[in-house]
Amino acid sequence: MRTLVYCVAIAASLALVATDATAERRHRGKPSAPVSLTAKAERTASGWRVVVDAAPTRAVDAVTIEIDGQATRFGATAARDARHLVAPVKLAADAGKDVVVTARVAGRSQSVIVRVGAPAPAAKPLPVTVRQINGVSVAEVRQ
Amino acid sequence: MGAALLAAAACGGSDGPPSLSGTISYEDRAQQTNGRLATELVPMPARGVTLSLINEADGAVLTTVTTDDEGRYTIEFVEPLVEPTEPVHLLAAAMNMSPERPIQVVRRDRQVHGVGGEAFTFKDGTDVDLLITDASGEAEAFNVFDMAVLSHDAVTARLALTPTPITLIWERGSNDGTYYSGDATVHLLGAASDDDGYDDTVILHEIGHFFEDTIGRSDSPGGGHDGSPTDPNLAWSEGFSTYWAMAIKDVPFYGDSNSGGGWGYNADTALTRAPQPAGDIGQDVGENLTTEVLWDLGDAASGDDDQLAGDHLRVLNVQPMYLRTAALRNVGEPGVDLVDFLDGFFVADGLDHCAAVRQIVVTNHTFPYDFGGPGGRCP
Repeated sequence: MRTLVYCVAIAASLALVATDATAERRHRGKPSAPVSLTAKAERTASGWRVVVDAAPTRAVDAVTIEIDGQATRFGATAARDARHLVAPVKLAADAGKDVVVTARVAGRSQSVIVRVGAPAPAAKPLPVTVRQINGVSVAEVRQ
Repeated sequence: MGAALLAAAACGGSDGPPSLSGTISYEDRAQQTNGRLATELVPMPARGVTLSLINEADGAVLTTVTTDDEGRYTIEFVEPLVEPTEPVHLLAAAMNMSPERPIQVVRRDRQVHGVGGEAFTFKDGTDVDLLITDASGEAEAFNVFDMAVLSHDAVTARLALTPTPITLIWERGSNDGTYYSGDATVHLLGAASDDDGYDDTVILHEIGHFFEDTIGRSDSPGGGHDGSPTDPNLAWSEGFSTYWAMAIKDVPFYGDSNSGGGWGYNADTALTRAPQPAGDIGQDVGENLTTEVLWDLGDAASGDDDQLAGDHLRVLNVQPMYLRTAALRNVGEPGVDLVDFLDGFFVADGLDHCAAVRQIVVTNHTFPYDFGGPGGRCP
């Protein structure tokens, strides 16, 4: 009896996973750049640096990495061959900064933002008043 | 003076009932050909949005109207609606509940985006305008709404079909991703690193997927697509949706801004070829090949690389007229792809343009279509 319960539970779990996987597979996203981009901030003895890896998903003629507006161009790159770039970031003591990192590959680009140094101050949400308009909830922001 | 502009028209005492009118607009950033957004903010009419008059003291909704295509509204105070004597304000909501434009743009909590103006005291014949500013964090929601209006109007006016309701989720700061989830819902990024709220073509691309589902057909498995040759069903679906964005705006341009600038693509000047010109009709192709073929079939003859005097309606109509209901030919990849579209194009268009289509599909894009679909065999 216990075995039967386990089997039913496992089957139900698998069905759930399959449903989720199907739903995820059906998501139709926007065109993306053929690159896997990762970036992180690291503390060094003299301050901070940003470490970037950009690996094209297919062989491409060039990979360009921009860190905080400074572009570095790499030549032809094989699929999944990561280009690695490290850039120091100067910051005043206790200061913080959002650094934009962009990879440009095959005419498309992808960007991420890396927070360096002190955390960003939490954004204060705008006050909202919810009103019912024709039976629909409308979140009103006053200007 | 902030968002709400009180422009005293001083034309009271008209013959009609007491009324309040004005224009609702939102600040927009134009897309540039390199995919970046213009820094300049330009006011655009908030057409088809829901506008309510709210009593400032108790929040009562006094009346609700819809703006016209110039963003204009008029509220006439006719019994039982009486002229307000206490301060009121306008509330613009990014929704429309009409059968022609069944659209809602919502936050992640599924509440519709709304913007309230400054309080004012009603005076007959006075214009009260409302400009939804970028600074409010809400202008992009109204731009998203406007892209859905464009799409729904195309379905109604050009394809003569009744659009089905759509919900679009956008919120500043949202990391939810940009995708169509298959349940009449479009999700759009609002993240600092990548915000799609002003990216008209990205918004329209995702709405294109919605229309595939609701008036046409898609067998796309979904998933990532980066321009590389990929599953024909996926390449068709993504290429069509990018074409939808171009056809709706009538420019062969797709752009996607991000915090590093962005990127742009021109389907009229780019040339994507099939990887194997002598290969199988069901081979993997890039999504751009589909977009470029569709654009060339739909654009005018002069000034580009093809001689076909097309029109976008003829291309778009293949979705509802053929792909939606037809039994697809058993060639190449199972499920709808470029081959099935071309089959449907010839069914709808006849065989008069075989040579021009052959030049676009085979000569320019090296795709080995067999020109032997249910519409007949091209000579």
